Amino acid sequence: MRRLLRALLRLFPRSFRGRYGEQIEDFLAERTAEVRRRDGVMGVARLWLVNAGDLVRAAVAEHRIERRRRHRVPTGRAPGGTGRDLRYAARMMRRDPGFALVVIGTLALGIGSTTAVFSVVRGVLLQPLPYPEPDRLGIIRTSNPPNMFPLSLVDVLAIETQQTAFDHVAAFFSRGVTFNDNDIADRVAARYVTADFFSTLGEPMALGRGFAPGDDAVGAPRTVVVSHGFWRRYLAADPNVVGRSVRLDGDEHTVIGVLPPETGPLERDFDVFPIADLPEPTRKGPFYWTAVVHRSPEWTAEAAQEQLHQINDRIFPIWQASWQQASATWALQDLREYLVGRTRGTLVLLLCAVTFVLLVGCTNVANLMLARATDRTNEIAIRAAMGATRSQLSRQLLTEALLFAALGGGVGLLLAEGGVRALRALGSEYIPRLNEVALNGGVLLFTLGITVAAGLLFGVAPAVTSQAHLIGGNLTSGTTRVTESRGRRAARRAFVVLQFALTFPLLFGAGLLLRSFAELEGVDPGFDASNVVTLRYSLPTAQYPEREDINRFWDQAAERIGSIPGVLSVALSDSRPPRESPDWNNFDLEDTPTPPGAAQPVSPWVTVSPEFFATLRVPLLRGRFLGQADREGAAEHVVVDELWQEHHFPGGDAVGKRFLEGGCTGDACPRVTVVGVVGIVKFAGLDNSEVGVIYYPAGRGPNRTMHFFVRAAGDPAALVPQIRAELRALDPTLPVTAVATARDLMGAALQQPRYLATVVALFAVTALLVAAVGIYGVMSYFVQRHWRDIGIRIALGGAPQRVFGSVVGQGMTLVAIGSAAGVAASLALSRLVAGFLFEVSPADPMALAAAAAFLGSIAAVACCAPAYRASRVDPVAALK
Amino acid sequence: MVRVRRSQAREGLTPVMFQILLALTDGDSHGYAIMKSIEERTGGDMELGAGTLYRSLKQLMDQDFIAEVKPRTVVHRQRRSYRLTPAGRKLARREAEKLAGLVEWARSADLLDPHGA
Repeated sequence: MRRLLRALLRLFPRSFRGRYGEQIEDFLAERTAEVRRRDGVMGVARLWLVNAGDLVRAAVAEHRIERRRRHRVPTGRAPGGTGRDLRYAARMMRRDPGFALVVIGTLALGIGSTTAVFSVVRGVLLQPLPYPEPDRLGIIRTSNPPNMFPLSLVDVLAIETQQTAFDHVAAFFSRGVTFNDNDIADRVAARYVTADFFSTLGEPMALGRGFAPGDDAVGAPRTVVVSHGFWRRYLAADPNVVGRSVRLDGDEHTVIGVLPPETGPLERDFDVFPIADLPEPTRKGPFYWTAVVHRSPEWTAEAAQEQLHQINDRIFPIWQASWQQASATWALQDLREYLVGRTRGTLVLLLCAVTFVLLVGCTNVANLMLARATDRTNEIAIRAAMGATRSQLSRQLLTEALLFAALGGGVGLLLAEGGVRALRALGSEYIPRLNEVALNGGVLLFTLGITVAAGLLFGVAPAVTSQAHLIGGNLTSGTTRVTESRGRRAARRAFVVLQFALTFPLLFGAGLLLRSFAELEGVDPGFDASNVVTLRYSLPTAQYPEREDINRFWDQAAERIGSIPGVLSVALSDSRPPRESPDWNNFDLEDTPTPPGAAQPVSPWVTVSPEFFATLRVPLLRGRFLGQADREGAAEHVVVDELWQEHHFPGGDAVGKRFLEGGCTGDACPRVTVVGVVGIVKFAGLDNSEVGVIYYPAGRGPNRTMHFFVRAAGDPAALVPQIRAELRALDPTLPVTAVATARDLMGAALQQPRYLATVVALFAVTALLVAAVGIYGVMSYFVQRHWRDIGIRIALGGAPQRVFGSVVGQGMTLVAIGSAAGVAASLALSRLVAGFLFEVSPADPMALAAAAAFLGSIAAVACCAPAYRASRVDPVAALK
Repeated sequence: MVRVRRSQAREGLTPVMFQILLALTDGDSHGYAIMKSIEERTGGDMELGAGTLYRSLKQLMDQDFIAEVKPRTVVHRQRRSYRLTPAGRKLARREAEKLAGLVEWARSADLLDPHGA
């Protein structure tokens, strides 16, 4: 009794308790003694019942007065200020560490992954390029819709001399070169540039100077700017390197400058920047130059573009003999767009996917918070009884939510740091500018934003629904089961529906990408990739000036490699299937010439040695393969593939047909004759089945860079050391590069789609698991609340299977509603993935069905556990 | 401008407070005795809980209608007596007059037996 009284007195404000506590105890002791004498135990019970209620009411009223009194003090801080709210929230968190762990963990994962992906999006897509005045930098290329391709030297010179819209114009092209220094022979990445390249970009030098006008004049000494990495690796970080000579492709170049360690993306990944030769062009082509320009402040991009069109129109008649495509013009493109435009789709897709995961996570946390708010109904009611106003209670609940969010955001930031590091390590091959990605101020602001948004998102629902509870005074004794209010139950169900609506598009997107990946994996590359290894080798002009020297070297090398035990055959090609074909060229069919002004057809021209088809086991369909005789003699012979034949001679025979090569017009142009048709080998990517290939015999021109294709009897990789040894024996100064088995090449072609499909699938499964936990929680609570009803139903003869079915049915109804909304969202969002799909429609019914089936089965499993518990309810126990 | 009188303070004078004031007109008294006195006076109709009683005492004290008296004995150290202040007495009188007026009005409306109450 005394204990009960003490507990009741504790409900009063401290000041009241101090003043009247003892008096009340004394009063009740005296009164109890009196009533016991008069009415016995029952009377005492009644007395205490009445007094307990009376004391609670008085305590509530005292708190209210106390609060009003404090509010009247003008300078006093409101009770339960933010500090107090925070302390209270921290106490609540410590009381239930498991709950806190789940909530913070879910949020940390969501916020962390979203932050990591956002920092990539920001660093790559949004941030200006690290050049002075990046907005005025542009790229000029040839545009012949739907194709974009580089410029010819004719174009570069015309732009340089005739334009007035740009302060600076430079041009560049890139290729691998061989660097020799005593016993070192390495292949390095070179970007050949014109004299104005570094001044266009505004890139300073760490040592020496950039190029000056005239450095690229015909006959000027060969000079080179080297990267910081190259300078450290190969030149021993020599501070007096300027003036020193380095040998590139057999030619001596004088080093005039060293770039700083951090450069812009146009210089990054290149080792050396030799000055380019600009000989007087004799025809328009070949096309391998890209121009980079710095626009004058008084010119808009549109006006500059217009001037480029005018110059192009002006020079067109001059070069019409070698270039007759009037539809082709020059396109001025923003430099950033040129560098990162292709990755935009991927990054936006990833950001969407990760945001959905975050939303599903937040929804789940909101659900957990609601469930906890129900458990805390008593606590909240007491706080309300003790004078907490609605706004105070809401603020308290929101403070708790924001504290959770802040902790989740903090841990998430740590995860994001790791995630960014992982992304930088993994994705540098596909995503440019990744090394500019960092968790900087902007990203932190974003994280702060999503953290607060998340906190509000899952904090508002419990705060709002808690209001309903305060009205009737919900102070029940601790043993009575507190039930969920109708509003809160509806909210929890709505959250579950929302979770599934958000999860569905992720699953659908993952399904589409996986289906597309499977299609891609199933594409026949057209050659036998087993037991084949490929190696790249380049012959510099300085050591091998003439076509005869080059051909002799390739013949000797093929012979020596062919004599290695275990080698079945050796072939040479400048291209590697399934996606490397450096030489694309236009042509004009003799039978159906392209009308003047229209675009000529274009195909990859793959240069091959006669053994190529046998080595890769490509079948002959018509005519004959190329032979040794085809590389000599006046007549030019080629082999085409079935796709080319189908494209240009539908249903007919291409053997014997003739065409004119690459822009040559007139009767003097040599005719190229098709001598054979072979099976389709993919050279333009596994997903490209548009263009056929022309196979051109090796040895007719100077084929300086070639790939060896070596078919082995056993493991082809085991032969690589011997192949290297044979090549070193022929020329010790030249390096072997790009060693890969044909299977590696196939794997590399599938790597990016696999990467994307895997990441999106991972996000989707995470979201689904979180959603499954959500529906499990709601259904478990449903069963717990209806324990007694279910008991009655079973006691009245209800079959446990039907109880089971009804619980699963209830849960699955929510899942079905969510999924239906999800289907609509999926179809609306599917254009985000459309660009990544191969042979799969963005509204693919199979993927839709698979997503629904997978989601449905996982959700059903999640509903089964509570349903099973419901079906096992013991009616006797439930009705006690 | 209307001056708010003490008697019309926000809490107002509740029936319990009026009873307490009446109980104290007989002289100083402590909580339990006040309760007993009210119980007797109302014939057991008004049975005061401890919470209501002490809350009312506090409110009357806060508005200076009653005052605490130093305990005379050491037997019940916690037992404190209360005494009516002049303001309290005035308030009780005014309240009684108000009630008497009401009773008169009820009687003139034939709501009451002329000899009763």
